[in-house]
Amino acid sequence: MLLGAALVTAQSPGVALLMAKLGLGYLEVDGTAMSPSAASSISLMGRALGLPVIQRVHDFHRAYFGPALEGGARGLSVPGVSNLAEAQEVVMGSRYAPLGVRGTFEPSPHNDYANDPQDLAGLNRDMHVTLRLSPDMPAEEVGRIAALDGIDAIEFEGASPTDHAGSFAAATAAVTASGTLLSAQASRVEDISELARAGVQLLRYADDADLLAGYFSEELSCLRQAIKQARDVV
Amino acid sequence: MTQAPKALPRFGTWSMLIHGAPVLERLAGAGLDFIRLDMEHTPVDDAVVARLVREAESLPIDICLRPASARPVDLERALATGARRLCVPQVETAQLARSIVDTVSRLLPGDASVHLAVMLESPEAFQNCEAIAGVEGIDLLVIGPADLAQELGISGTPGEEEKLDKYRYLLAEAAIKHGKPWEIGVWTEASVLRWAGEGCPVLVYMTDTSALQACYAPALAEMDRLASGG
Repeated sequence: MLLGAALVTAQSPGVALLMAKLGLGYLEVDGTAMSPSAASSISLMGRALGLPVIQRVHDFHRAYFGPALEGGARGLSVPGVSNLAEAQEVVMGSRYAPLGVRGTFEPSPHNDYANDPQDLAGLNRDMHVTLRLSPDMPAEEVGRIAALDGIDAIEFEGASPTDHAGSFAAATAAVTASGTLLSAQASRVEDISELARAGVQLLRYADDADLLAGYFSEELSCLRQAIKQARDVV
Repeated sequence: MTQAPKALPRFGTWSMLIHGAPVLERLAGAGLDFIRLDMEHTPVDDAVVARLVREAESLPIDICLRPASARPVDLERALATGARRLCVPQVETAQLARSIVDTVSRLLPGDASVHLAVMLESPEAFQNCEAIAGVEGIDLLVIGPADLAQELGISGTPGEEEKLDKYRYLLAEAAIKHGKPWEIGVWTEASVLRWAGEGCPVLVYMTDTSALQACYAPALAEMDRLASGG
């Protein structure tokens, strides 16, 4: 299992260096919460460090894919996909021929500024796509999407693979049966081992804004209480 | 004890990495009173600073901006972002402190007021500590221990913190003598309690960078435990 950091508010490229030094396995930058140039700067730093950076995009329209990938992101996290046809659109828009019709322009960070001829098959292999699906999607549809060539990981939005209720368990099983990676978010350290047991291979930790808010809230509450107690003793 | 404690200290933290839109509201909700936004050691766009300053205006959290230097050009650049709380680095003399007050007054004529903090970060600054504290228009005295330790030749040496304490007390005494607040940077609960106990009215607790390190450390330790078969 690979542990990733979700970045919303840390927008300096230096954060990629910090996360690499800490030992995170990948980064996911939220392209819906930061400027394209900020997301690109972090992606480029990650690329230079060998730390994969995935960019979350607004939705499954291919217009969002080019700027993210050509800006240096190693992959995409695509929300809002509700059926097989939309998943196929993601593959078509994000993969080069023969899988898709992503199109090419000038050499750029996405191919390390290599000149033609471009190794399209190699670039396809080097790129990652996570789809974020509704946990209410029928397991059969999830299985068909997970089996698509060009989809590397599936995550269920707003649900955890440790929730075994009803049809969601079947949907999770459909992902693992296809050989596609299962992605999930952990908000607490306590959840990590259970998510690992549930078959999660890409584990995105809570985003930086949530972490910092939670950290300072707890720390400052304790510190203020400790100051009051110390003064009471005096 | 340098000062009888009254209200709880104001708490802030340094910002070097976190410049994104959602952060200020979250940090205000977490109980931080202010963010010390750094332009001395951090490459941050002026437009980003201006956005954060504007956002803070509608939130119960202050932005206190550290300009790149005490030079008029950097003070003007800082004020142009809309920031009205500045923490000016490397202030060594009362003359420089007065010139900062004058420059800010000249740049912002009329009723505009600026809360001015000055950082004392060298032996020379502490020789002039009381005179700096007495400059009208200086609102807060701050110690910069990292640069001070370098200039003293004690950075990374045994007893560094104890040697720096002498300067922290000089700062406190000068500030209290002139009826002004003083600020200490703290990284541990023990140092928070210590300086709160000394009556320090403003504490800067950690940085966004050290806080992020602390946030990810338990998750990474758990990953290590699982990898080793735990």
